[in-house]
Amino acid sequence: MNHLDSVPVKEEEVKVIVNPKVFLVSRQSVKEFLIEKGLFLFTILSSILIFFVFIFVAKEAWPVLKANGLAFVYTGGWDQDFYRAWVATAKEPSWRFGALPLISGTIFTTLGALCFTVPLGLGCAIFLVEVCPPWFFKPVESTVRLLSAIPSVIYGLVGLLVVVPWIDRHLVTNEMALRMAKVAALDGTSLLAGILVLGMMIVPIFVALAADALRVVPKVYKEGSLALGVSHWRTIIKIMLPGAKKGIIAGAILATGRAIGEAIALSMVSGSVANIPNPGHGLVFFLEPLRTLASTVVDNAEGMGVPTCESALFACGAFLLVSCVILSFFARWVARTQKQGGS
Amino acid sequence: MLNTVNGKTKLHARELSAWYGRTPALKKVSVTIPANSIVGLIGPSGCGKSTFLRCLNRMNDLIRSFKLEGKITLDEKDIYAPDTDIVLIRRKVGMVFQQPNPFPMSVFDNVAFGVREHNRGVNGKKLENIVVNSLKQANLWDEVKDKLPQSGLSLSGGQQQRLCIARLLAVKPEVILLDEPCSALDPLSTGKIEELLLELKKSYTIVVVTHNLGQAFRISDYIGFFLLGQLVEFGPAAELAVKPKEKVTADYISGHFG
Ligand SMILES: Nc1ncnc2c1ncn2[C@@H]1O[C@H](COP(=O)(O)OP(=O)(O)O)[C@@H](O)[C@H]1O
Ligand SMILES: [Mg+2]
Repeated sequence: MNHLDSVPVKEEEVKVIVNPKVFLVSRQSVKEFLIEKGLFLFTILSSILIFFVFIFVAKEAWPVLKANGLAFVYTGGWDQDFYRAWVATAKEPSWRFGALPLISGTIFTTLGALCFTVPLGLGCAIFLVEVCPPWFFKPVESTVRLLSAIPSVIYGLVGLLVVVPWIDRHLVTNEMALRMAKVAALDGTSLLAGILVLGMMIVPIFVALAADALRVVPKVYKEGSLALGVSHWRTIIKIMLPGAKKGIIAGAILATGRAIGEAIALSMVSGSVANIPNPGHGLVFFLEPLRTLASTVVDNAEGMGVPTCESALFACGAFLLVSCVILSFFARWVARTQKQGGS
Repeated sequence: MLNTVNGKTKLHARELSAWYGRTPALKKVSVTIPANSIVGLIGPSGCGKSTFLRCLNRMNDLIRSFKLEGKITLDEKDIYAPDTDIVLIRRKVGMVFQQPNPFPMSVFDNVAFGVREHNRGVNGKKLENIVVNSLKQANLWDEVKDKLPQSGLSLSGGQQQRLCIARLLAVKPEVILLDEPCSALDPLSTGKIEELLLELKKSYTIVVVTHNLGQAFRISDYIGFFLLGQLVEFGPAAELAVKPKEKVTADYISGHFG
């Protein structure tokens, strides 16, 4: 939760400035003084660095954003646009790009992954904290934390070798493939594969944070509810989960951030086609391929030499940055409003 | 409640022994708790009063290392029998804790919580009536009638404790267990809770642990003196105050009195 929140660091700064004690000359305080100054310096440096990253991305993305305006967001055709821009001559560059498929791809995969991560993760966290015996708890919890540290390319490999073939064999029928042939090839690489792999990736971190949040709900609330003759299960739902709400939402936000920014694993399993899955197609919707903003930056990186393509990719990056900023503000807002609620 | 016949046994413990892991906490405690009385439990800290109290509504089931031998009956039914519905036991035998622990929700919802849980259909006017009556019964209504939507945590300590009693009364238990309910409160709030317990005795059976001997003798009909996990003496409060049978009891009481 802390790394969403740079406020503690800021408090350090204030202390350095206003705390007169650090100027007393003793070895201890000299050391503290140096450490605090050092931390302060790092904070400043990283803030400046982040600032420049924003400026740089904005500057690079600007030509494409200016040329397309809002059409960048609401029109499709990215793959054709990109190809056209790539083969265009330097004299007549093609600035038209429509990123709707990438944006929708990011939203579909992220929301889909959240839809299965949150209930599953909550179930796991409740089981870990409230149900399973302590000897079982420790090993499982360390495993969960380990899982959240596995590099995403491994998840991508598992997805490519297990999930994608399974979907191709068991869910995609010939009839579907024929019907969809004009739109996209159905070969197992799909929204569903993306959702499943992304879900597997973000479940561990969500479980770890939700379990922490459940564990710090004051025991007296739980006892108070049980002593009223409310069952353990209802106590979990009505007392424990609301008490842990803040931490659970923070976990979901962090998981969302990871999902939005995930590039490699999704590029491996979701088809890498700038297609907008159509909910009108029924359940085939989930079997259609797509590509997210982050995957696009990786998959289309070969276009980097061409100024138009480069700017378009930076525009994708700008969207990712902005969504991260929005998430982090949302996280702060949750933290603040929950505190006022008194829980 | 219906069982207003005095002299009827509400709770009975026989040869109750308890351990936390290997450490014994209770040693062969036997006691009979009559209906519609207040039983005060006294003794130095660490002697097993809370442990005993928490056996009566199976709150100790939450502690994994806890082991129990012996028998406890509620209305002649063994509450540790394998086919017992623990939730039902806790519904009949409610508990108030040492630290007031209102839920982080409004005053109204605090009282309504248990009612809604036990009776999903209840709402509107009916629920409101139950809440208001319970707050009145807990002598809290006048102080909070304008604060029903406020957080229960915004009340004073004494009010919080009476709120906890009100939310318990709302689910109509038969027995009320209180574990040092006044130890975190000022004398004025303590007095209010004592008065309240004396009123509640008419309809409920009350077992209260207290480290305040004055309080024990003011409100209890029976007093049990615990020492090192044993119930050294149990009898009518009046008798214990005048001439306790055991010397340790006398020492403890006089030591505290003066
Ligand atoms: N959860 C627990 N785990 C282990 N030992 C406990 C626990 N609760 C109480 N004890 C021990 O059991 C003994 C009796 O405690 P308790 O019933 O709380 O005493 P009292 O309420 O009379 O002060 C004490 O020695 C205490 O240390
Ligand atoms: Mg105690």
